[in-house]
Parts: sequence; C-alpha cells; structure tokens
Amino acid sequence: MNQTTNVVNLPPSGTTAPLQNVALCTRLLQQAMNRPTHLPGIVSFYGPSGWGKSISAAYASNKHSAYYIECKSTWTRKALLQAILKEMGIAPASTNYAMVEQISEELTLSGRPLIVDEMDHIVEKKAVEVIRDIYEGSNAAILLIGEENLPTKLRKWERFHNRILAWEQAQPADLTDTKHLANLYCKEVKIADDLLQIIQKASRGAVRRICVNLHRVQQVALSELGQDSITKAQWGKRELYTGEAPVRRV
Amino acid sequence: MTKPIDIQAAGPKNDRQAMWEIIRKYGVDDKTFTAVDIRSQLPAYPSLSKIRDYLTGLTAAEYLECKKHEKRGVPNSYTLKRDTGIEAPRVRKDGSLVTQGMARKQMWRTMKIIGEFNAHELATNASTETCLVAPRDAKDYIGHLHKAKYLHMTVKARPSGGQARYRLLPSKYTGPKPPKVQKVKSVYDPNLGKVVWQQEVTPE
Repeated sequence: MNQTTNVVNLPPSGTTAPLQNVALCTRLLQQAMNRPTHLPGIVSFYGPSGWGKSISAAYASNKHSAYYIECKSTWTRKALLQAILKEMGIAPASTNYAMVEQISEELTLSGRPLIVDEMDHIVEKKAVEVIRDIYEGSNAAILLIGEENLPTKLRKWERFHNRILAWEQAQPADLTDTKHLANLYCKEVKIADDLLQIIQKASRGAVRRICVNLHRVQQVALSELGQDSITKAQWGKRELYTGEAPVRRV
Repeated sequence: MTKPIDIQAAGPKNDRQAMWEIIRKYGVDDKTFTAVDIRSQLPAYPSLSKIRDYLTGLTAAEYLECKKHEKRGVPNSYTLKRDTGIEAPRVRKDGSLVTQGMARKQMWRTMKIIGEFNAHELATNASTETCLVAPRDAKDYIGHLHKAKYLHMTVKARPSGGQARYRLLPSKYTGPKPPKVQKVKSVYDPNLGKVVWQQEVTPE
C-alpha cells in the first residue's frame, strides 16, 4: 500500500457532536422519538443557510439510522415518495397511495425516524400533505429541516402545523463552536484565542464561513509565515472571508 | 391489522436479504416454517447449514421463536416474533450484531447529505461515538469511489497542503447500501448488483 505517511499517523477524527447545532438537532430528534405516543411526532429545525443544519442532520441520521431525504424544488408528490422508498431500499409501487402505505409500514416496523431536509422546497406544494399522510400512517418521528422562514410557510397548512411537537431554531456558532471546529479541521496550526474570536465575528455565526476562514488562516501560517501557530497580531490586516462581495474602492 | 401490501427490496438481494423476505411473508399470517421451507423458495439454493445458522442467529436475537421437537428427526419450526422492516437484520449465529461495514455505511450516508467534502471532513462528519471513522479509511473509500466515477473531484489536492475535494454525483446515489471495495481491487455496488470499477490488468 502506498499511503502517505502523514495520513497514517493521524489519530481517529473526533465527532461533530459537541457543536451547538448538532447537539440541538440530535436532541430534537430524540425528543420526537421518545415522546409519549399520544403526542404529535413531527419536529422542526430551522435557520439560515450555512449554519450547519446539514452537518447536524448527518450526525443525527448516523446516530439514529434515520432515513434521510433532501427535497428538490422540482419534486412532485410522486418524486418525493419515490425518493423516500429509494432511501429505504424498497422497490416502489406504482400508485402514490400504495407508496404511502409502503413507507408508513416500513417506518412503523423499523422504528427508525425520517429526516426531511430542504423542506422549503416542497412547502408550497401539495407534497406537504404527503408528509402528513406518512405521519398519520406510521406515527413515526419525523424531523423537518428548513430555512429561517419555514414556520411562517408551514402555518398555511393548519392541519400540518397542529402535528408539530417542537420547533427549534439553529443557533449562530459561538466561540466554543469556533474552537471545536479549529480542533477538528485545523490540526496542524494552533490558532490563538484572540484570532479565533475575530474569525467568529467575521463569519457572523455561519459554520461554513468559519471553516473557510480556518483553512485560510492555516494556509497563511504554514506557507507565508512558516510556523505552526498564529495570533491576531501575526494575522495583522489580512482579510477574512465574510461572505460579502468585495467593495469597489474608487 | 390490515394485510400489508407486498413489499420487496429494490435491487438484487443477497442470501440474507432473500431469506428475511421469505420469513416476513410467513410472518404476515403468523405461520410457522422450517429451514427446508425457506430453502425451497430460494432461487440460489444456499446450503441448509447456512440457512440454519441465520435462523439460529435470528432466534438468539429474539426476532424468531423456535419450537424444538422432542422427537428426533423432526425439524425445528420457527415463527416470526419481531418484524423490523425490510432490511434483513445482520446477526451472527450467536445473535450478536454484525458491526462490520458500519463506517462505510455512515460515510455513504454522509456524502449524500453534506455535499462537498474532503477526506478529513467526511471522516469527521460521518463519525459517531459508537463508530469513529478514521481519516485514512475515508481517504481510501473516496479514492475507490472516485475511480468508479461515483465522485466528482471539484478541487485537486495541492502539494502545499489541502486535500482534494469531492462531490457525490446525484445519479450515483444508487440506494442505501454502501458500495463495497473488494479485495480483488474492484468496487461492487450491492444496490445494482454489479461491479462498477475494476483495476485494469496489464498483460505482461
């Protein structure tokens, strides 16, 4: 085997579990899974894009063997049903009605939860009713993930809205999250706390931007400064990624 | 309870999956069955001892109930006690869970969810407390899936540091089972039941 040596000696990676949003999302799903049976079983996790909702979903679905689907804007009811069945590894029946039954039965028997990501894409279509049908048929725990205005959009579907057990807002990444991300992704360079603070501010709470910035800082430390640690003073006036388009200077 | 509609796993089945689906059919009416009953319905005709081992494992893990007969020569009869859905339980003969392949399963699931990733990010995001994924394992798996053209490389690795980044092609999410890297240097997709990449053999 011709593995490069630096990879062989790395310790096993940590998990994303300690991140705020990952913990919130997993707890929310567990709340639905462990609820008393007379309570509704749909829960909803929402927040702006880039805040780590999908990595939270990845952790939660790995931990609880959840079925996971990511909705697309072009999906019809049938497409939604077929996608869930594909995820279950079941050959889809020909009618929507039969597919709802197949899915409900599988959810009931397996006791595994269902995660529906990018719920916004189907919230304005009749496909929402399909999720409700599946829930009614299975009483399974279902986690809906969407953008910031998901609750407003869902309010339109009153019968659906009633079946939601809990709402949880994703939180902006704080300094603790930033430190944990640095531990996960920035193993070669030690970034001083004062610089991590600036990274967290510039990234305005978005996990995705923090990761971009950590990478940038690590590159500068290694290739420009040639050292394995970096502080705010050493970073100096270099720019961090804020997600804004650059301003023209005239 | 209403009679369930016919549910079949998509794609080709391995022996365990085929056996489990037959067992579930007996379970619909709480009918009893024997190892011979199962074998007679399997197209591939695996050995009876293989079927018995699986039934013993399922009984130990309390999926089945086994009725042993006093009289010699009368085969054990089984009934389905706990139906957990389409996915055949992966149990050993002693009833313990087969944990092999967990890391691959978690990686396969995570690739689809997180979009773009490098080996390190994939390992981190696919890890849980019960099954940590080693970056080395992620790198190896990614390498093979890339060769099988399941992954598209979005950013090349740079010698200055920085791993290559990849994205799972949407059409290549063939199903929930992770494609297997086989010892003979090939990738097998159990959802499709075919080898999707094979190392070229150069004739000497």
